[in-house]
Amino acid sequence: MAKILMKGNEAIGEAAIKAGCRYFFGYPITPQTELPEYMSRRLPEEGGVFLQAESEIAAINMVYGAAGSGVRVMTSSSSPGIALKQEGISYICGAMLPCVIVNIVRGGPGLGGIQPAQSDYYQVTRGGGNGDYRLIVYAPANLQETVDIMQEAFDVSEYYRVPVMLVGDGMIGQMMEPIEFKDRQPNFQDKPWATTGTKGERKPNIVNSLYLDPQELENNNLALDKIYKEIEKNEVRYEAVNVEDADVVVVAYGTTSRIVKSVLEECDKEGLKVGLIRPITLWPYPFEAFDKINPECKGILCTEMSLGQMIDDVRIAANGRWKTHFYGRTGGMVPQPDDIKAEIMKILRGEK
Amino acid sequence: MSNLKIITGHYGSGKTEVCVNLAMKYAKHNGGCIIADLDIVNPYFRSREKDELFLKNNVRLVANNLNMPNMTAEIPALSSELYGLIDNHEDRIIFDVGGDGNGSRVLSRFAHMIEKRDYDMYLVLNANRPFTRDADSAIQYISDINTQSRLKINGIINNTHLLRETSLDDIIRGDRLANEVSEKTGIPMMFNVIPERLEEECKNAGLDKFFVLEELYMRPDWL
Repeated sequence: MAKILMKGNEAIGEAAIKAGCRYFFGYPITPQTELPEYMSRRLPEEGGVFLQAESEIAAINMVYGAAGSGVRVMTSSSSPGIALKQEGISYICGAMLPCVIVNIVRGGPGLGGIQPAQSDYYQVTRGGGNGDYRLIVYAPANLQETVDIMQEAFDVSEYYRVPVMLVGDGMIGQMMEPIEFKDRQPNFQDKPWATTGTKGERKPNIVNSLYLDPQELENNNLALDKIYKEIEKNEVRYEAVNVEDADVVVVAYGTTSRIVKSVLEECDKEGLKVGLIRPITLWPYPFEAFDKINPECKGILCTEMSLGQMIDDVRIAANGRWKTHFYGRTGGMVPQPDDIKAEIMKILRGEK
Repeated sequence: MSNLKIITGHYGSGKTEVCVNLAMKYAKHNGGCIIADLDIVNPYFRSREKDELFLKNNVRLVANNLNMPNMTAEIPALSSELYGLIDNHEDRIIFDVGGDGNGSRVLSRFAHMIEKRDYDMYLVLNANRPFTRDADSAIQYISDINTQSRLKINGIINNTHLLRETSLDDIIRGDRLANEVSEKTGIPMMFNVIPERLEEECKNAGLDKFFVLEELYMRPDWL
């Protein structure tokens, strides 16, 4: 297919449709509104259903119902809207249902603002919902990667019966980029658990997350944990650039990693040895990427559009082997290349 | 040709980039201009973000009444200065309008004043955008924008691009589409928007009527 120019939110929608998603339930919120708008236009053409729910809570519960019946379904929102969905997400995890949730992140807390942010790292990796659950969390850095991941996300979610969360900051949702959709057939799983009607031939399937017997609940949680361990083994994704002989390694994801890459180009020209670790999955986190870092590296700089959330995972990954530092902007402010460079220089000069 | 240029189009067609480049060109060669940001449907990548660039280059920005050009709230607030601009026949004025019919609806409250003066209203067309890849879909957008703005598009701009990956092929394909739309609607094709690096190639390919982009002002260097 020839390249076309799409806006992030539209591209996510089209990739979902190509992945076999035919059901969308959502509610508008900037900066992701073009996604439901796109789905409202495209899904009827594909024989699917678009429904604007009365709230984010209603939307995620419609996803719960649709996923229970075994169809490919998604919802999307932005930060405070994702906060509202947390109860439903926890239920979906408890009931072991596949679905895809998109969070185009804006500044917070509260209603915050509508400009790009990465301050939902805790929300998406630690869960705003209750219980021992995990989401597979992807954080692409450009639109080609975003559509590639979206085309696979439904397959991954169905395979493990774990929801996938796709996280993009407002920039990813709003920016335009040339993209190409890969020719790729969805890999649909059999779903013997789905509520598709017994036709008088089997016992009814029940989709539920309530276990009144604590032993039964523990068993369910252990079964989930086994799946999560499997995901940790198979699904970690990251990009590592020049970390083996780096004097400083920057860790960044999403849009921020692109700013860092432009800084790295400049550092390279000046002969400075600066590497990058870019997590593509925020959970499972690419802890293994850090094992490749030069043992003599002077420090690790974590940069985020937040006041420091991923830094916790960076410290776990560094495990005391290197000094860890943080630089971030928040509230919709985007870190500038010069500011990141200045932080790198401080570490290189031993001032930090 | 009128001093008032109203720039409309499908969202993501590159209207704002065209407007900002046009404003900078007027600033350099025509002693300045006024750019009015009428986009109240999308709070990202709007011309009002370039307030500092405009200030330095003798371009007056009219965004909202709050004296906070960079405020990104989703309030559908327009500047009261817009009425004055419509009566202003001396200065070069650019109206940067929001995307699609929905974005151009904002013009309808001024339509009764605008139609009493001379104005140019252009459709920015990008043949690489999924919903404007053929003439009939593009014509549908013209009709939507005309209906919702209560004004009439009287020129077509080919802005077919792939950001930094634009090739001569893209421009030629867009030129063909724009001319087809022009033939079917009777609306003249005004010019091709091209990056500087392709100027020679475009000339050699027999294309004419260019608007050469100075730079991609709306795209940060790191993107």
